[in-house]
Amino acid sequence: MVENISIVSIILDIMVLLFILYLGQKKDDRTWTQKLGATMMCWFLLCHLAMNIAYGQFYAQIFLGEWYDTVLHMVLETLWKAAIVGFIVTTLSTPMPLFKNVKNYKIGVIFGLSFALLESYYTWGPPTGEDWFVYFWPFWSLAPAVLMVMLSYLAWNYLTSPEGAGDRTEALTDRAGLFAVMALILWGGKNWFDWVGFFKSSEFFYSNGTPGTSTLYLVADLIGKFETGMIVLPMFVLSVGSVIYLRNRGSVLLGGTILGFLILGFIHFWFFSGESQDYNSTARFFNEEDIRESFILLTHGTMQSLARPLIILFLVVRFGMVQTEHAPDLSRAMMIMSLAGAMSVITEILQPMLGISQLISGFFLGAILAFEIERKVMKAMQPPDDEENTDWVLINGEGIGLVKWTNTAFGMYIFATIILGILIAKEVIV
Amino acid sequence: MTEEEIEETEEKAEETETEDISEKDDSPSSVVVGSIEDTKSTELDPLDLKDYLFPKERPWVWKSFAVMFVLFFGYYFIKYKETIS
Repeated sequence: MVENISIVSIILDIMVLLFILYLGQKKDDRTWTQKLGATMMCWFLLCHLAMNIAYGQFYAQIFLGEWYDTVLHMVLETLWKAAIVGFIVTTLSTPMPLFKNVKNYKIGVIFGLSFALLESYYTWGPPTGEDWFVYFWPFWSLAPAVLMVMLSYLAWNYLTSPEGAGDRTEALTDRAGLFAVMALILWGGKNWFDWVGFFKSSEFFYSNGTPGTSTLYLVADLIGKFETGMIVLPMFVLSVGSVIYLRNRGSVLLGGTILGFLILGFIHFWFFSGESQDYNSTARFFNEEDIRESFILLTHGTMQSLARPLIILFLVVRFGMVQTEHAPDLSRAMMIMSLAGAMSVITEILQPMLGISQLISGFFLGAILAFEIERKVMKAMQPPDDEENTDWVLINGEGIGLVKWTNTAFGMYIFATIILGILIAKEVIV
Repeated sequence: MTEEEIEETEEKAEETETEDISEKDDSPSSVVVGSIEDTKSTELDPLDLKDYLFPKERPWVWKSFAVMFVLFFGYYFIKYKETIS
């Protein structure tokens, strides 16, 4: 018997996306940072959904070797870049904006998106035919690496904080840190299982180019290695931080989860070769009788497919980006479907490892409903009542306008990429 | 009450009212109002980044992070240079 899990991820992406869009339309007292965060999470889900469909479940049906394949590849990359910029923007504004001047913010976003568009031209356009061309992504590699540096520091600041929310600054630090930890798990979590062998595997030190051939090879290699390093470094930062966090605050849930990544990663590396299963692999049939393949799918595969939309769901509820009281029944249904979907996939993967049937997931679903676990989970995810939620003031502009401006900029960027892709694919630009 | 007494009473009442008004317009009151506005606007402004990202009580936070960063990428760079050379 064979299985694939990307279809569950597709359904979760769609469900969470519609959930945010529906609740996001409601009029309430959300601040501009929360509204900005909600829309940025939608961009991520849109990107994740597109990647799951195009590179996962329906790859063979979509990419037929026609001219529009180029446009599709470019748009998919563009969505990733939008998702990365979206997370940078959210990191810079949750719970407190790290910028004060709207003008500087807009310059930064315009520069980032313009550079990303230029990168698309470089990667897919006429430069590919030049002798000096080196295939690499300066923005796509640098931007997430910088994002990971920012998130790692915010997470480190939070995990090493001894007293917790002692004053206003510490309370905001804790919130920023919690967002950073979850964002780090979302972006880097799947790779932590594969790259625990960082200090052993020679692939991390392999040079993609020919040394001395051109400086561009060295630049490409350095950027690529920086990105690789910034996926692995947060794992060590979080691991050390989680031990300190456990010691300081005694909270097993967060500290235990992070250490769980490290332990599973070591098992993955030492016993199961450290191979990864990504979008294409999670949609491909695999041998569920094989413990090794099941373990790989349980770690990298589930983190890449299932965990990401669920983490987004946690982030939007916990940070008040949407307010579930507008639709309590819908929110409850959302939680039940999320838990049931995740439970079904995980029990399926565990089947060959523990010798239990996937049918047992039905009993877990029964337990969720019987004990109303979904209500407890949803309640635990809600922001605390006494938590500060300031509608921060900015210079040279106001927050709500900034939310609209950012989304318009993202839309224009994607539209420009589609036009560029058509011009390149139709060989108008030679 | 005679007319003189009534006038005196009215004058006193006017004086008292004037004092009340002057007290209301006095600087301490305006300071209070001003301080409320200042506090409000200050609370709505983002905190100082230096205090926010580099807490004074824990100066070792950014230093320890920088040490981890340098050690990690230092080791990585040395191994990388060995490989490409």
